[in-house]
Amino acid sequence: MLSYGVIARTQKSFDGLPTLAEITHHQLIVATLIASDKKSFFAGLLHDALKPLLKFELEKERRGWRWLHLDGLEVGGTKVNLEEIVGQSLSTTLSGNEVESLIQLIRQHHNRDAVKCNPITYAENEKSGLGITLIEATLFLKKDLKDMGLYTCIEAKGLTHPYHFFVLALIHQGVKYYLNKVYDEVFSLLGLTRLIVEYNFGNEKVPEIQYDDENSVLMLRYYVPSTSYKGMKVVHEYGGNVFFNIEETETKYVKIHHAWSDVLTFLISSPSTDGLTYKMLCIIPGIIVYNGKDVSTNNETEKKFENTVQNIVKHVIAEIQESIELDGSYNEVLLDYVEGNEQGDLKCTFCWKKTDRKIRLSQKSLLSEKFTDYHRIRTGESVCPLCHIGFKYEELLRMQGPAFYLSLPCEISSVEVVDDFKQKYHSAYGAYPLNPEEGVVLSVLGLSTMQLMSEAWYSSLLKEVNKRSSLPKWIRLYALRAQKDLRGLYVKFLIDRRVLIYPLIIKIRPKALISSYGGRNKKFVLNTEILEGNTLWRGSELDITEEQLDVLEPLINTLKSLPYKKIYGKMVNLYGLRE
Amino acid sequence: MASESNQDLDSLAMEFLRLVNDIVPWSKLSSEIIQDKWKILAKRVMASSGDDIQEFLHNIVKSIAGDSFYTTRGEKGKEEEKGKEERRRLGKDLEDYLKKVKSIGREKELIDYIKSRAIPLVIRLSAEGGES
Repeated sequence: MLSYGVIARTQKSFDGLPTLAEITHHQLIVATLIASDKKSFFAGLLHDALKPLLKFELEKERRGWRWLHLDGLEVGGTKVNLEEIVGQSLSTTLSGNEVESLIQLIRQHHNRDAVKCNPITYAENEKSGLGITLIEATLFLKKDLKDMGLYTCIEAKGLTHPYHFFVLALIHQGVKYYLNKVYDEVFSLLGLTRLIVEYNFGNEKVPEIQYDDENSVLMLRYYVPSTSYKGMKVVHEYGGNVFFNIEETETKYVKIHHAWSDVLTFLISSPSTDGLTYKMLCIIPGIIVYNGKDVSTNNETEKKFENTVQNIVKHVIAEIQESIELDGSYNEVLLDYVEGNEQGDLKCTFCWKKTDRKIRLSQKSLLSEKFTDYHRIRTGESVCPLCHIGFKYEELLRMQGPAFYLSLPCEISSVEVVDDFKQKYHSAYGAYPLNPEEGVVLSVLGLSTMQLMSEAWYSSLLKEVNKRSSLPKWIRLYALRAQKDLRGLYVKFLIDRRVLIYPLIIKIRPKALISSYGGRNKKFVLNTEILEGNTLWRGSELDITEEQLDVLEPLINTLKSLPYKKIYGKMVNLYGLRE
Repeated sequence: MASESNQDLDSLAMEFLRLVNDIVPWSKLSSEIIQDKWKILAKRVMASSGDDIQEFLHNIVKSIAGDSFYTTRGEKGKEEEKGKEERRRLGKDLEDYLKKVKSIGREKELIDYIKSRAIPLVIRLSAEGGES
């Protein structure tokens, strides 16, 4: 099981149905929306800092559970005082007045009347504000995404050929990389270059906040009350120079690195008349402005950000072309093709999209032994921009044989509530505040957490490999992990696919758009498929499916004493993962 | 973990593979086969068939080792304790196993279960012997 974090909210109207959103992700999203001044930004990062204590109270008159997380909360017999927790730690970066105002914003953020004068309330309130909480609790939106502080970077439609999906994945990687730099710049100006969050499971304790003024690092130390996971520690690190990565440094200690954009951008797919549509969304930083009295949305910031993203997309497209010596040929039209538009009187040799470019593809490549997929080639001498780029990359990487994938939000196979949490509330009240009987509420923003869960599963199987220096620095290519790169955690998570977002244990069905499987003896052949249903990874002998992994699960309890590297080796050998 | 309805099948499947592994005289086979023992076992289980569990077992063993097979096996712990080899009769084990399978009455389902999950079951078997 991968220990990841703590849940962010429940859905009151459905009797405590949990929403799939992680608490740090939630606070970072709210903070980003209100990142127009330092005080608001830090208030956003800390506004739910008492939630990981998971203090629920049954309110009979309101007929429901209340998740207490504001002042007055009792921890270990004493009442929590926000001034004590926040005041001292932020005094080096904020003035006395600013700290006072920040505490006021946190205390007040649940007051609906404060929606016009509290940026956090404005970000969260669905009626009079942006309603980011609504977006966290449903997949069916009443509002336009744009009105909720989200910008659509790319909307891909009508993709039909493996080369098309590969180009989408390439653009996604590039845009995400540069957006991370943009977020980093915004946050650095507000005094944050790194965010470190520690979840310490065991006894309950008031959270600790530390701010390193010299390096602009904010550290949040949460103490999550749990007897079942006593001694376990999960650390999240967010920054501008990191890629998503999971480390198990010692038993019960997991460190998860995130780029800012891992949380603040995400991909959603939805069916449309053009087949599946993929939207890459991102949070608009600082769209909500607070002048000390009133809250408003800043259209100028929004426009500036939109321009920045559009320039990033253009830059990424230019870099992709540069790396395969197609300098600038498709600057103007590539995005059109990604968005489902096509033009010209000719037909693409590969996908039959319309095109107006006659290009002779290297006969040597097409007809030599290297090109294995003759069936893809139809008659003609023209290609569309997407297939041209896909073809050139395939040629470039053919001998290297790396895997290439784009993780998609996972699906949920099952949800359970951790026993110690159930016992705590069941014994006291006869019912517990989380009711996952009917699963969890899936949400638009939760999709970024779900996408990261898929990413976590694939990164336990795959490792990034060195690539050619001629490729853009943001391209990430993979190979199956060698035994020396394995940790017990990877093998266990690979097999059981369970993620702890305390107090929920969620069994996931990882999903990804796989463009190439790679492998020692494989050529780099783009043959994109969306792994759906039970199949999680292809093997030359047999595919790895949920059903297959379920049968391996009994091994996990004994893995401590068993050589997990050898078990992984056996999986690679018997399923034929490298061939 | 296997769902509750599959738990019975799962333990019967593991027992089945333990029996096959004991009956096949691995040490008498060529070194190439021994080296690739688990892969060969998994593949033969996937490729074999049978109208009932006994025929299924017979076909697997035959496809790996031809007509040679063990009828008895030494029991590890007991050998060391007593200093002499104590042997268990595989025929008796097989008979007991077949009775158990018949009593559960899901023979076809069991064969399908073993064939479709041969690889993970073999990986578990290899781990049991400390030879993973």
